[in-house]
Amino acid sequence: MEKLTGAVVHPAQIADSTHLSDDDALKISARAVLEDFEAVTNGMKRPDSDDESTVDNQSDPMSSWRILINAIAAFYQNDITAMKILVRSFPCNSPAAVLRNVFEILAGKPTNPDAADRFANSLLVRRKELSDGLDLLEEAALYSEQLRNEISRYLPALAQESIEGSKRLYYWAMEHLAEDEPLTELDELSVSVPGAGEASRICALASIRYDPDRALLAWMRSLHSVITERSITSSEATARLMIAGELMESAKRNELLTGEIISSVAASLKSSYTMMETLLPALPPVPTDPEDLYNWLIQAGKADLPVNKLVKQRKRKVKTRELFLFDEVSS
Amino acid sequence: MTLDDILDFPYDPWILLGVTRETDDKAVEAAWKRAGSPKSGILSEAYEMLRDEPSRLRTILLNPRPYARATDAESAMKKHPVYVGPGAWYEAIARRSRP
Repeated sequence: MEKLTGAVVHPAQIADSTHLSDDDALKISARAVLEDFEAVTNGMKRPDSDDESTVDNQSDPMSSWRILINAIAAFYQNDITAMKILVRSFPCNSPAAVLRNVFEILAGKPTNPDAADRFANSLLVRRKELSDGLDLLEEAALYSEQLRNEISRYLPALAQESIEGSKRLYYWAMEHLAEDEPLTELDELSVSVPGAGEASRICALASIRYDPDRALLAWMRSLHSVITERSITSSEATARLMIAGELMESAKRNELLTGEIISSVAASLKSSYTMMETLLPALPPVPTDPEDLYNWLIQAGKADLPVNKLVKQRKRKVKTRELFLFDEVSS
Repeated sequence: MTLDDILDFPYDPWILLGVTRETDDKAVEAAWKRAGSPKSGILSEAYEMLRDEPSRLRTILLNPRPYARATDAESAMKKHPVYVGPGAWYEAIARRSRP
């Protein structure tokens, strides 16, 4: 209960909670507080005076709200002295304490007119900036190429301030600026943007249908990023490798699998091989032949075995170096 | 299911089966059985997409956005929201990319 007192901001969080039954005492109390609050703020009813409500009861999350209700009632009754006493009894860490300054002003405390003006102006300016910003953004979206370039330049700086902000901007740009071609050029940015693995994955998905070769390269960048970030499990690594194999097959079917792409895929796998091996100990070395590379990706996608099983495997006599976990070859 | 099968699937398989993202194999199987253990149709496909952890991982990785949660699979199917599953998203991307 004490923890709840500091955590609950509004009684509605308890009154509307689906975790409590309707006959729960706390829920009933919260509902009563909401009804009393609505009544007193409409000046319709003055709650019964209750000595208990002026006492900071650490075990009652609603206590500060009851004091607040009585303070509001006292104001409407023009009983400023009683209001001041109640306001002084707001618990320091309670939601009601946020309104202490407001009550002091109601009680006649002089305000700083400059502060009020600055506050009002900041709201107005922010609203203006937001509305101007939206207008500019819509207009800028008409020139998608220029906007993409600007966003590309802006993203690294934004990522330094806010990772989530940079991700949201990146996803917005990918969805709204993909009119003519996929946003894979923004994917080049992904190496410097935190959360690059996720960004590259989305980029790959956006290209799958009509640019499977680009999708494959973006997917490999995504895999490399999440491996480097150490943000995936062995199961996810195998799933990603299998999908890479399927993307490779799709690019091949569409006659888009060039030697350059194959080299890029192999290079990406080799660069992250050491870290991948920690997740998938049974991973064989990366081949460079296209046919072997495809088989490697598919087999690696099935190589998710615990290390202890790997140890048992290693104890068996190995005839050749090309040992696939489910395909032991004897010479 | 093939990669194209997942990309074409228009609905959210979690919504269809009425399971959460944190579900496990048993819960998925139980949901499929509650639905009558269909061997074909969208519920059967949803089950194939979620029946074990590798399948669920694959479905998540090929989906562009987090799935919404829902407990009422029937109401979700009736609603047929514009954007629910990966298929709708890919279709929207394809529409934008067409000349």
